[in-house]
Amino acid sequence: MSAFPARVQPSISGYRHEALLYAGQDEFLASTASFIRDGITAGEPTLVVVSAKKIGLLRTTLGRRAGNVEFADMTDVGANPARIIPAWRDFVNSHVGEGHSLRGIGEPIYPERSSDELAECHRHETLLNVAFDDTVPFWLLCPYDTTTLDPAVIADAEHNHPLLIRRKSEEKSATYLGHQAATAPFTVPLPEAPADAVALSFGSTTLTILRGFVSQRAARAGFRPAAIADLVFAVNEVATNSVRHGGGRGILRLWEDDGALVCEIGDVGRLAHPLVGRERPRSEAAGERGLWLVNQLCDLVQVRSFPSGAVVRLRMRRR
Amino acid sequence: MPTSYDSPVATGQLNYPAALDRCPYRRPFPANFSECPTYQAVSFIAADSLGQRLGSRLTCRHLASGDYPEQRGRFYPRCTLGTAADRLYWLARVSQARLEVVRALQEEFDSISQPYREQLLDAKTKLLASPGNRGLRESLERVLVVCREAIGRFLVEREARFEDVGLPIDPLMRLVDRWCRAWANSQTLGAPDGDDVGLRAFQPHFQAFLSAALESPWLQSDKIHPHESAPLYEDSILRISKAVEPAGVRLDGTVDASNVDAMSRTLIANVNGAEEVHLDLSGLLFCDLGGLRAIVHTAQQIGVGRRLVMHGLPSYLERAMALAEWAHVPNIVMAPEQKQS
Repeated sequence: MSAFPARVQPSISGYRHEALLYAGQDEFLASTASFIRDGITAGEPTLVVVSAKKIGLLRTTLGRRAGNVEFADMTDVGANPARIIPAWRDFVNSHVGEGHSLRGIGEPIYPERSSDELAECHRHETLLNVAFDDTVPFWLLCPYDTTTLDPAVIADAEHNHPLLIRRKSEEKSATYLGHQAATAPFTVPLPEAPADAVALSFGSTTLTILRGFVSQRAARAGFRPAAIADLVFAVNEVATNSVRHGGGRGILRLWEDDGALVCEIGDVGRLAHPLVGRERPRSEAAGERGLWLVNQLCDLVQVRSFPSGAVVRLRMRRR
Repeated sequence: MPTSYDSPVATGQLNYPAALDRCPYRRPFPANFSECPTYQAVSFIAADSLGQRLGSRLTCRHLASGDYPEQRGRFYPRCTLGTAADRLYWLARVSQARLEVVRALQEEFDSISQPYREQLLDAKTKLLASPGNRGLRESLERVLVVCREAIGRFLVEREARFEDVGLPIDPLMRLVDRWCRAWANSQTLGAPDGDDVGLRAFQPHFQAFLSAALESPWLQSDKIHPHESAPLYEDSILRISKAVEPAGVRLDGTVDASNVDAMSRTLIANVNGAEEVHLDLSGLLFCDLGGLRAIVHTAQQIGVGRRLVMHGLPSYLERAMALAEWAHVPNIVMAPEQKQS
């Protein structure tokens, strides 16, 4: 017996981004297992990206039928939430032309998320509304646990999903913000840099100094050489973006936070493309891919485009 | 005040050939000295012959005193890494990131070891004043034991970082032991001579993190002939030159937004001819995504049936190539030899 309303057809014609607001583990398992079984019955490829613990529970619940489902650990795929959309697109592209509808379950938000990660998860959910269009028969379900998450998080989920499932019934979200929320510049403020942040301004001829500064700070913070090289590469790419497109110069602010280094690059430019850094580049030489790389190298990347200029804040754990 | 061994060259009155491995920077080094990319600050407690402290000073790990070949007895400040080109090539081999880790470890060591170094100097000064005194000898030995334990803890707590920079802590501790023994038994307060046996446990590139290396495989004198072949391109941070064996192009230094357009033009203009064009990147200190893009672009321009062979690509750039979806560009080949990290 499906946990979903009878009027929901096993196959869908277009893209569907839906929040599953569930109360506790039992409801999570019942609802998601039923969603997955419906997909299996209809022959629809399904990818489930949730915590390792929930993957284990789902495998047990589904038994032998779990073999037809792809699973991935959200803490691997989506530690940096900007890497989740590419994972969904890879999944969709790997089945393109097979004639099936596709299903996905993605739970990017769990109680352990930091407030910065949470802000990026909400941004990710907003962007999912423009990451696929209606030519893609893809039904993506995003579970939210109403018993452990803050009511404000649930309210944001309602802003970011056109459709909601609550107590097994589907409804349109009355507070959905629409595509506009994704295509407008992202201006949710970042927390203030701490007072002990060190600042360094840079231009095209002083990138060497910038790189030396970042590598020195990372080494003093106990970073190992491979991580230093990656962080320097990432910071240099964002700074290069400032030099080339953001007014020719910018300011780096750097600080340590709980075993991580945070590097923030600000300039007077704009970062207008909503999916910047989330589109897997193609193999030819041309095409921007700086922020794509930065997203793969860093643990968290926060991009903002204010009227006064663009800010990119990178975070890398000591490693 | 310049130190006394500076004067022959500084005044320019004496007709010495300028030693190419002369340290070109002003000494003593200021606390925030950053002009030399290979500078490795080491603090020492300066003392006069009677053991009177003259304060804590900074020197560079790579600084030694050199002998002018034509003028025995005349000394100059010698960089044990070699010439300017040698220094940069050594840095490319060990990587900026590793040098930075070594600098951080040295800072941590200097700060933690300061009290022990003071105690050791005290104990040895007293012993040198009355060499036969058994009690003074024993108290020096006691300080050495305590100091050795502290260094042991310091190394163990940072084992992974030392491993990363090519200095595994077991041979490093043996080197420290030998050094301490030699110092305790010497007749002066100064550092003992280099310890070849202890150093031999490390690769030559990494030996230079500790002392003058026993061999210098990074020396460029036989590879670069600055007066014979003009560079294809040169600015203050990058030199692109023609490589002969194997035929291709060699990049030394740094590619970033300041010179990537020129670098790209130079590459495209110099990859004509042979079926395989070799790109020697082993002297690259840093290259940004734009530089990698220029290499990919070049490979796509050289035509069907020809290949661009990359040598000495640092591992972080190999990672970046893969993440940028450039790992499988058809006419780019990674040369398997001399993988560096």
